[in-house]
Amino acid sequence: MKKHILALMALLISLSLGAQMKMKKPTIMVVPADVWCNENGYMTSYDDMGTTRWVPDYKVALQSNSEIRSAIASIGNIMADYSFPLKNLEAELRRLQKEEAELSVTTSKDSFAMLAESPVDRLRRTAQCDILIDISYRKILYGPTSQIVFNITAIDAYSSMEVAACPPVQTEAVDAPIEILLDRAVQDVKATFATKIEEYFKDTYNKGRNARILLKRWEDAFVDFESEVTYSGKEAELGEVIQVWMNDHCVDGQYNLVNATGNTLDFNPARIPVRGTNLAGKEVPIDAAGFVRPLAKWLKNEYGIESKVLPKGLGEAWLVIGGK
Amino acid sequence: MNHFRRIVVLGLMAATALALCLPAAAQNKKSRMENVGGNFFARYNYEVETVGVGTEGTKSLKVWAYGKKVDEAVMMAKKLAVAACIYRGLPASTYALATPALYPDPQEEWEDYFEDFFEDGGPYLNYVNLTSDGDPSGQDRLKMKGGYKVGVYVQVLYDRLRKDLEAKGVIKSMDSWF
Repeated sequence: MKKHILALMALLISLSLGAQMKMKKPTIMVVPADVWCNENGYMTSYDDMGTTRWVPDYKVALQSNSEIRSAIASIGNIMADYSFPLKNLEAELRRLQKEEAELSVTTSKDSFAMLAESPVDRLRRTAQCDILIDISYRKILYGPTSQIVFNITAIDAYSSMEVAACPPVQTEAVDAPIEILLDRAVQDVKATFATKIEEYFKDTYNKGRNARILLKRWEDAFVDFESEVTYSGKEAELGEVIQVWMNDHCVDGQYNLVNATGNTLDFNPARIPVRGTNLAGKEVPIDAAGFVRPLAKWLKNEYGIESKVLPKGLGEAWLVIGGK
Repeated sequence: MNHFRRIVVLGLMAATALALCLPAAAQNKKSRMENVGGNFFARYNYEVETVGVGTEGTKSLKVWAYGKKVDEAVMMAKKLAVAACIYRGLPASTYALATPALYPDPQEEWEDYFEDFFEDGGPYLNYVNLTSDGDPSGQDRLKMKGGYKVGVYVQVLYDRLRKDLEAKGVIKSMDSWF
């Protein structure tokens, strides 16, 4: 009886502590939709091993199109109004450019050595965020009447799941600048859009974060995900054992394994808890890397498998087995 | 003996009638309590129409309300406009998207707060402006049995209302999850 009371008290305390705990704040950025960039000629190409790839050129779009800048500013205003300031795309691009310039001229005073930077470091120096708000609009002119059809969608950058979307909004006026019509469209969608984003946060808080957990192996690793290991006295493939771990640690055991081979296990999405314990044993808000680290530790302790955790943001982490 | 039996029957009938009436009386009393309670508007059958996209965090509405006198009906319309934003949300129209309710799930703990909020001359007036001049007339003023039904154009300061409800702790702010 005493044991039951103590367990109940512990549960109540943990629940009350849990209720006070917060989760890590995602970064949100508004970007012009690819379709808008394409229709308005703001695309740039690069050679990807013989194949020409086209990607949106945000920098040129923001420098030469005042309408999209004003739409981004309007959305920034409403999110700030909801106590959620956004990461500004233009400022972020400027910061990256400045960082690039600084990195290229920073040298050691003694040896004149440049800063160490791996190809991965260079690749990661791009504008990153956790939630992307994609906007686009189409202008229609009937004589003096201007009309726009405005679209807005928020997407989780890791799981690619839709966070919030509103039906297309149409606004029109006689002899009005497009910026005014865009602002009116943003005003129209704002309450619905913000409520949907808030519902997403609530869902994440209660049911766990939608994350992508990707497991890979180094090519010289002594094991792969099809290697036989022993789990609770039974023979099983390493991949199966990892799924048992995921089932135990995801919220309500929810995960979706989209790809499973000897070299890869791709969990997308996995509902990971928003809180965990840090090295000091304190309960703290965690991201995907914080979720994966105990798995790395478990693999080392149970099977002697070394692994490397690669944090990719709030909702994505990679674990490469077979070494650091 | 017959006389005694009649008395017993009459007594039983009286007791039965009393037993039937008491819960009804209690129910009426309860209904009256609910009607004056703060969450009364959560169950109200609103006649609200969105008439345009408001600027700077406002909502432009047309609201229909009843009252014994025209000015009473107009006051009720103002209350209903604010209450619709709080409890029910605003319907979509050809001019604007639907707006979600700020507080769709009324909780008992805030019953007293909303009772004061919606009392005559209460704080709800800080969030609503009439946008039509004078008393409603023509098709917006219908004489009915025992009073009037009026349709008035109002502007609700939706964002200000949301922020104040967040500050009071009635609803959570977006930032509160982090």
